[in-house]
Amino acid sequence: MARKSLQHYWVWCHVMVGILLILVIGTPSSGASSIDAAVVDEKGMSVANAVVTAYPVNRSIPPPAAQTYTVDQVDKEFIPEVSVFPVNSRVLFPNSDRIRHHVYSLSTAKMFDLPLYLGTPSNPVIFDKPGVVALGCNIHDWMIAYVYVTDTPYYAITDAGGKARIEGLVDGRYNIVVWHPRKKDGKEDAGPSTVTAGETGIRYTIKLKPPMHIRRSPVVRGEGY
Amino acid sequence: MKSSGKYRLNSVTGFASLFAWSSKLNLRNTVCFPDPARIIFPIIIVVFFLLCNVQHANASWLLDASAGATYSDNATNAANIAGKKRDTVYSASLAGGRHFQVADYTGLSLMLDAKKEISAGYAGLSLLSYGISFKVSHKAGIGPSALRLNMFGSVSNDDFGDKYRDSLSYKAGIFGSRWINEEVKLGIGYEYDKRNPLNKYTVTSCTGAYYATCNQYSSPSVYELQGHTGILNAEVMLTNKDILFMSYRYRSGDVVSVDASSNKALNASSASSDDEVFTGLTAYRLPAITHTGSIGISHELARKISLNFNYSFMATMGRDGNDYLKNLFSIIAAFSF
Repeated sequence: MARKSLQHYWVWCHVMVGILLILVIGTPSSGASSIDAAVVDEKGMSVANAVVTAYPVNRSIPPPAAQTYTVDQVDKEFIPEVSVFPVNSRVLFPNSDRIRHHVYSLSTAKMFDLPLYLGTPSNPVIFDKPGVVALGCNIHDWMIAYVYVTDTPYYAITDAGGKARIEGLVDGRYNIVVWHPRKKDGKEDAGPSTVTAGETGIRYTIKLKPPMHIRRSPVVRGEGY
Repeated sequence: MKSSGKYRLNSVTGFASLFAWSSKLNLRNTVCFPDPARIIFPIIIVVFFLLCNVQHANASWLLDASAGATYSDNATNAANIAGKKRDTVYSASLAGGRHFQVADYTGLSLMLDAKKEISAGYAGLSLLSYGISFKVSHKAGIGPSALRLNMFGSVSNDDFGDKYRDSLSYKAGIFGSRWINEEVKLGIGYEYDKRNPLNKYTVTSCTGAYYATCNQYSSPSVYELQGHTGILNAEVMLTNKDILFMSYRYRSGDVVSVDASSNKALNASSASSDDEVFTGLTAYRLPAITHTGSIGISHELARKISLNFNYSFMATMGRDGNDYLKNLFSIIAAFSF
């Protein structure tokens, strides 16, 4: 009789542990899902620096946590070339060069001007509207970078292999938006516009304009002798 | 190269030494009436060097270098076939200095320039040139599309090792440019140039020790030239690495045409002399209008290095019909720090 009770006890224990594991790992509210996406161009080549953002379908978007970020200037170039920040983020533009830079933006999402400075300005720039902000240096015209300001907390940038992982997703369906500095306006992406959290192997094909930016190397005219 | 101790400075001693050494070389030909510029020039160089060496929080170093070759189908600027000579010149140049961003929209660049040209066909056209240049750059606003105005000037000592051609050359001008869209940049400018022969006083004297070697039929001022040039430029970005550039230049001023002797050229010229490089030909200084059209491609090899191909067509209308045409092809590799 006592042996039978002990067997029941062990069965109950296993059932309870199983239920607990299901609750901890398997419930929709665990928040551990992610989306893996790959971005390629029309030739199938991996696209780096593409911003992939996810918007929950039929659910409210949790406000992204605003933090302080940096966009550096090294050897007369912006580092990184493409950034993505949540709306209301504070961004510092440290100048790691030994010469002064003049950082500005003429974009409607955020217009600002940081006249000539060395080091790190004490006041960060607050990006309070979603959108694309193109950065430049008024001394060195070839210096260009982009800040993508997003109103969703779910975002990622593709690496050199064109891959991005958006983490921390709540289970459910998401609308996906892909952006790149050279993406052709108004062109639909080839790829699912809505995906389920946890999906992997999602592939987006975007149409890109040819790379075109002001060159740093000199133009020399041989005008004779 | 001997180094002169009094010009020795901390970081770019070579430049100072070069100028001191070169000024000694030039002074050896001076007899009685040296051109004041020949004495002042080394002083300007040293003062300029000191300015470049100023420790300034807003200053950055500049370094430009280039090397290339230019082919001309009429190196003599001759109107007659008998006087036309083809030549290829190989060149290398180096310029270093400081850029001072003196205000949010205004900068000043001071550069020390050196250039060596070697003529494949005529040793007398080979040149060692060194000098100084400055540029005041002002941007009228923010962004690439804002108008950028450059005011520039330069002085160089052009040493051909030739008593007529050795000169001080001056240039000054203003140039404005702006990107009208993401792919096209337009520019317009004006340039004044002046060439002042270094030996015009000593050659004319024809007295004393110099009498035996002095050519009494030559005018030392044949290479004393000046001109005014209007410039139109366009740059079109073809790809991320390739730029098509075009320019038109209108120059009104003196030219030197080395040609077979003729009364037509002699009567039109304001000075003339036998030429020491192109023996048997005569150098004529002519007032002229020169139209130059250029087209070329600049290809980016690396972030700071480019390879530049250029073709120029020059049509010069000299006084009294002393006209000549000229085609130039060049390939130049350039580096900018």
